Amino acid sequence: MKSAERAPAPKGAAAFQILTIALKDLRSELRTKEAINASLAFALVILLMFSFAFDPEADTTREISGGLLWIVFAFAGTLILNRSFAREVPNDCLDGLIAAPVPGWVLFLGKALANFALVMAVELVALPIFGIFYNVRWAQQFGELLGVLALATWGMTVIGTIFSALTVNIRLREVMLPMLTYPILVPALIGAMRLTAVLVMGKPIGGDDGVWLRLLVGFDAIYTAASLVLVETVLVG
Amino acid sequence: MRDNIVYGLGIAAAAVLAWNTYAIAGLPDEVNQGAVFKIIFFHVPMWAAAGVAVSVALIASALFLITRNFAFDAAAVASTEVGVCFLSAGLATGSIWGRQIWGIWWTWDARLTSALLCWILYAGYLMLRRAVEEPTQRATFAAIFNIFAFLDVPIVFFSIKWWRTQHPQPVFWGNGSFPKDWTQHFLYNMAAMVALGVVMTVLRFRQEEVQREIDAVRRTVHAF
Amino acid sequence: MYLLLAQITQDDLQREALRLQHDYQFLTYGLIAAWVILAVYVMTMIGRQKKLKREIESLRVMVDEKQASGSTR
Repeated sequence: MKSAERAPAPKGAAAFQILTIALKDLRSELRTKEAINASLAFALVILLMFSFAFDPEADTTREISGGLLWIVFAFAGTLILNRSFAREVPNDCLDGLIAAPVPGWVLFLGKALANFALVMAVELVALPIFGIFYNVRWAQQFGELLGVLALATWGMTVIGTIFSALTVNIRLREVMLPMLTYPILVPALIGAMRLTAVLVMGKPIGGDDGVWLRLLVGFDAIYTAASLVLVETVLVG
Repeated sequence: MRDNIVYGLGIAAAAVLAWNTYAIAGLPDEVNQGAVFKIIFFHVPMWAAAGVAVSVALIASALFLITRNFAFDAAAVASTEVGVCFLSAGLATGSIWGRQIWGIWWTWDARLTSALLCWILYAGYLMLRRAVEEPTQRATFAAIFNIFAFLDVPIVFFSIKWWRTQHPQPVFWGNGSFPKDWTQHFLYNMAAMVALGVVMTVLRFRQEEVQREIDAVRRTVHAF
Repeated sequence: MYLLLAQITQDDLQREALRLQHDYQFLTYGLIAAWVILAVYVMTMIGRQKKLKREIESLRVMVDEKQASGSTR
């Protein structure tokens, strides 16, 4: 995939390519709506189960509800992220993508953006339902909440996309993806859970919690960089 | 010659550990924690050996991705296995120590959580290797996962500085104090534990190389 | 008499003795656990070594058979 002897690509070509790939993925997903429906249904079912597991009326449940929310998002997100590269396997579409004259990191960013949009959509739909079930006023600090959601979801998307590429052809793919992704995501998930729990209870993000925000940003930066460097090796081998 | 060096190192490490254990048993008990504090002579060296093992695994994985030499892949898996071994032993000693001192087997502070996470990540590496059958693919994916997994290790190491934790604050590189005459025994144990780790890694590395050669010969024999 | 002066009782002494015994107990458990884990790993390596030897033997047999059948053809 080295562009040895082509004419130099015009500026902004990479951005255009990324956008094309992202839109292709979004379009193909929105036509069938398989993954997004399954993900949303799964999210609602888990929210329901948590309502039975923990007494939704109790104050303590409302305090931990921010954490529970991220378990829902992590599980529902994995469904979408798994589909990301699994969708390309039939009819050798993956080989076609790899053979295309785009650098690996462009392909990765395109897919990551599409996944990010889909997972955020599921999260934003699940959020009001969560508010109803657990009687929390999540809209109080919606700006900050959206920021935390975006940061943590980007981390989850980046890791999930590259491991989706890694596990696409191996045995027990559906099991290996969560098994590999969740441990790596734990620092970001813990940070997201703490911050969300604080925000959803109406409190501002205080001094102690600032460290989790910095951790989230650092996590995103480091893992995005690592993924961009390594994705070519994953795809081409 | 190499064989002799490896076995010699192993025996030397075992001898140092045995002698040192005897010497440690003779040391006076620590004021606050009593006899159980002496677990530090094994707990910290095991974690240090684990740290060395996973660092070696990281370097081997990176080198494999760069050079595509399968010897580095063998080194990575050998080092990671030994690392998981020391991680397990380190978690066990820490947990038992905590049961005596704090009254609890486990707590979810930053260091213990990130340490457990480290264990899960490297155990996941070993599971990933089993899930991929094709050798080149297995080596490549495992190397990539190893690099991702290593990014947790700095969090483990610095967690007691960054967060207030149940785990004691740094003794050796912070403001803590350690009895002077104990330091030499501690360092002997450190060296012996790392040496033990090196010996186990070399032996496992050899086994991996032999396995690769057997597979190659089998393929040749079946082909003709 | 001395015990009274030092403000400790027989109970205290017993508790202290028990605590020390407990300490050593846990120290022993901890070290045993750690070394058992390492020993288990070493034993799996020994097991793997034996398996490798068996594989080499079977390969040698296979190669000899192939050579024998090759040379009689």
